[in-house]
Amino acid sequence: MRRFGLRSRRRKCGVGAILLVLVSISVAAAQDQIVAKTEVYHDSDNTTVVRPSFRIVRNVGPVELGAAYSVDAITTASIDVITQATATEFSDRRQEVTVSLDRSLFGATYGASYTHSTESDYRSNALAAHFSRDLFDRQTTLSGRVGYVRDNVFRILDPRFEEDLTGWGYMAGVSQVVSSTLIVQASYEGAYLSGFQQSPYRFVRFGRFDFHFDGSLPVFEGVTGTRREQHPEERLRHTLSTRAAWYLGHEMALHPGYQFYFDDWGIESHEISLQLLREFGSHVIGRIGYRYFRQGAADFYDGQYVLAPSRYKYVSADKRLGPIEAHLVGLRFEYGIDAPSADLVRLGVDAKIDWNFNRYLDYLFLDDRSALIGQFGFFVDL
Amino acid sequence: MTRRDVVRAALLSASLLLAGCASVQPWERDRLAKRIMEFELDERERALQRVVDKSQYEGMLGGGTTEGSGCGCN
Repeated sequence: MRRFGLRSRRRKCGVGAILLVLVSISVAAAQDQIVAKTEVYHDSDNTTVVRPSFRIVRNVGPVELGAAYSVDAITTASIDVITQATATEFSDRRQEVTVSLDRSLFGATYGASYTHSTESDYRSNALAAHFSRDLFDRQTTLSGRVGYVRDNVFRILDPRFEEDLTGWGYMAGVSQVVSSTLIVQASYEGAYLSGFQQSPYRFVRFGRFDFHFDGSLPVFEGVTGTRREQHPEERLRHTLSTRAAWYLGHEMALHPGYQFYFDDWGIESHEISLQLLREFGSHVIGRIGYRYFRQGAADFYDGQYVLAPSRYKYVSADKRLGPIEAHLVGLRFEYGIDAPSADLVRLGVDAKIDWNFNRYLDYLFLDDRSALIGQFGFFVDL
Repeated sequence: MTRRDVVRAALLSASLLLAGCASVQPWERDRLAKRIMEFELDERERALQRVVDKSQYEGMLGGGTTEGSGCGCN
């Protein structure tokens, strides 16, 4: 919830740096905004993603027009690729374009957006509409969103293969000023998906097999059969979440949060987060945060399918459907100064670094994975 | 804790919260207006975090489901 933030401050880009550096630029004009940033992700499973992105916002009368563009440049030789796909390493590029329109009307804000994204084997088109309205002298804010997405899935080197996935998403939330130092937010979010929801490449091995590397080559012993991954075609997903912003005094605020997820594939997860924010003078904001996440497995997921392939209706080799325990620790700093001229409102830099650790509790090929995610950038408000 | 327990706890908490709210006058909101009280310091940061989460976990939703798909998850 950003009801109380200054508009010019909201219009800001953050970018980060770690050993792997991201570059970001942000320029904003009064009520207008241009943002450019890049993020770098690198993990212990040999995956690197470089993600530059741009965003432009232009106000025309009461209407706010927005456009965003991002690119994910992915290079990976992950255990998934080595054991499941057809290559030992691959690179891909994902591009995404979003256009949006927002306007205030009768005390509420309404908006709509369209997003198009492509990869070499994936295409997605999504529409979304949202609203928010302040009530009771701005002590309560109601918000909602509904969206529709249609994806096309392809398989490289197989031009005849094409599958579809459609989905509806919906969200309703409320933010409440509880006291002069406490704001609480609660929301429900759901989604219904129908269509092709598995990997077009991944296949499942059966039997009580062993796995080891011979040099860089994976060796499997005792495999009794293989089958392409097969997931249900329909899925209903739900998330309940709540979070708070609590002013502690001495220019510090605490942000606790909790999220519960469940779906009709049998996955349940709990996420607990805590962030401490502090202002250092009028120029610097620091944030330190921790997030704990634990997810149970889908009903049909098994680390090893020991029966004959025909005995299973659905099978998966996707570790994201298995039980996972994860920790995330993050630091973020933002340095902003007031404008040196009348044309500028504010300028500054921000930097962020996260360390993410995943433990896979029932996945034969990988026990854990750690990742560093960094951002660095600067912004100018005009 | 079962799914039903979580839903019940959420509804109960929301009811207690709304019932216990005091009226906070505009001149009492200076601390609420501070930037450190914003849930999202940077919207782009949140969007990028969603992309990372989506590529790692199926047990998360968080606003990304109908905002475009595909994630190079192989």
